[in-house]
Amino acid sequence: MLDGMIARRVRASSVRPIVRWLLDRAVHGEVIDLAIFLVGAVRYHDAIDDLYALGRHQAFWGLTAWVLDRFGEDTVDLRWARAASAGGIERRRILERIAPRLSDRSDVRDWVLRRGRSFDDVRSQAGADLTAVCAVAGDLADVLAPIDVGDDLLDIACSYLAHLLRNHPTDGIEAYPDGILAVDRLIGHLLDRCDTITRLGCVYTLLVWLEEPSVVAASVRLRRTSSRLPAEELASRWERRESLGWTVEIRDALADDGLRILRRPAASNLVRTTFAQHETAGYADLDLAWQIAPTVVIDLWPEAFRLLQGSPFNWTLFRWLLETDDAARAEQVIQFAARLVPPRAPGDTTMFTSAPRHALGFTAVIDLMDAMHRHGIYNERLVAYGLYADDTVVRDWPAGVLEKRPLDLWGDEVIVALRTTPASCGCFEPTRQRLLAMLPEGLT
Amino acid sequence: MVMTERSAPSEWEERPSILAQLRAWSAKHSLSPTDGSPPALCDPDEIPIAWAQHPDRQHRPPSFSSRDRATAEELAAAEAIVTAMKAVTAAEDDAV
Repeated sequence: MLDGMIARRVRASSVRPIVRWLLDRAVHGEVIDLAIFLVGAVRYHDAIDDLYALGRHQAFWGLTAWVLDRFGEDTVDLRWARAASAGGIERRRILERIAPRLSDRSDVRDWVLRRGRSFDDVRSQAGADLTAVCAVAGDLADVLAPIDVGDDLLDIACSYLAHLLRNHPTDGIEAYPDGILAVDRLIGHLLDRCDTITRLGCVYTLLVWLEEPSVVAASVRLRRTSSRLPAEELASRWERRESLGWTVEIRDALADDGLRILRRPAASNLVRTTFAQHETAGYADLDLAWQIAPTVVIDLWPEAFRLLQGSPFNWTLFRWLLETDDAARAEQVIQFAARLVPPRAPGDTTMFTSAPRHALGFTAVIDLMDAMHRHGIYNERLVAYGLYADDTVVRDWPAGVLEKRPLDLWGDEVIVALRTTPASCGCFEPTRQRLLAMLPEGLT
Repeated sequence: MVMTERSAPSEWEERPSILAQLRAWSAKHSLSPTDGSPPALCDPDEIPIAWAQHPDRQHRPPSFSSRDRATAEELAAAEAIVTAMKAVTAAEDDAV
């Protein structure tokens, strides 16, 4: 249409009355779309107020904001309105677009920092890029500049930076251009004000991201995670981060400050008191306390085992307790778990699903099998139980334990389970074949 | 030219224009709230929009239009139109 108008040398002044008529009369969406477009095409300045009204509708805001931008109008409010109701990728795109225009909009910056991310965004790895965009649009580094930043903003900053520092490999903190400045300022505040487990958790997360050797060495979880990373990623990550400004000097200075905070008695007290409040504290806080404890040389294992005895099917407790280098402790947990599994009645081939009532679920079974594998421990009852899991992935774990052990040491319960379950489970064919192949001909 | 009798106005045509409805709505909902909250956008459930190209539906679902327009391809196409428009109009005053 525009090509035709240009070819016929249609004058804008002759189109404007038609646009006026369309704007005043249109009752259909397509006609309004056309009118909005023509307002821009014929530079109809008198209709700018009308565009602001039309842009308030969900159906027209995008095209309207685009045309208003071409008039040099301020569309921050229209885009803010849309960002408030949009989610995920669309919100991120809008905030990216308005970020450079927010220098004199403290109201929008404040909203972005406090409300720009949803509950789910904050907890997901996919939400890290939205967190980075919100940190830019809300100018997080600038918020942290005053020496007396408020507690609420300090906690928000901890939430942002902990989220960005948790995500790998190239999103997260690396996608935040002011990351170094913001982290440096935050640590400066926390040197004096690290008085909650969330703030301490942020310091710990920074040290983990920096791969501080003493922190990694103290944690079974971290050692196992880093051992699974591809060698190329390990080799190239600091080269890449150096190019973004994370120099050795900066990293060392941040690590020194972080360790100084963690080595204070106040940090140990926070970890101990948080874990003692297990009945009221949320999982995130308890897990932070559990993770930080080895670094601050606190042994929470006996307390966690005591909790397991009162809450025997709690998979989180199993996971924590089995994160140990101590084979005797792992065996203690495995023996405890085995006592929770009653012997099978003859002929009972019932499979169990992910969250059985008053029984071990898939997650606990996987962690138990993993611990057996790592520590060379064997428990016939638990391995047999794992074979009755109605899930291919779970059943691979007892199979892995059995493959490391001579057949004559498997035990009768396992043999019965192996005879029974491969045919009855609708599992992944390679797993079924793997299980079938484990039984010698004479025993099938 | 064959003149045809105009059909009876539809339910939509009897309504105030979209612009009139949105002017009235905007008058009640400030684009600059003073309490620090973001301005609101009017939901299609509040002021339904009739789409002639979607006769089987009186109005598109709330997220349809904006999602449609959010694509990079569409923005790129729009930018291309504006560039072409500017090239033509730069040489001739007030032409489209």
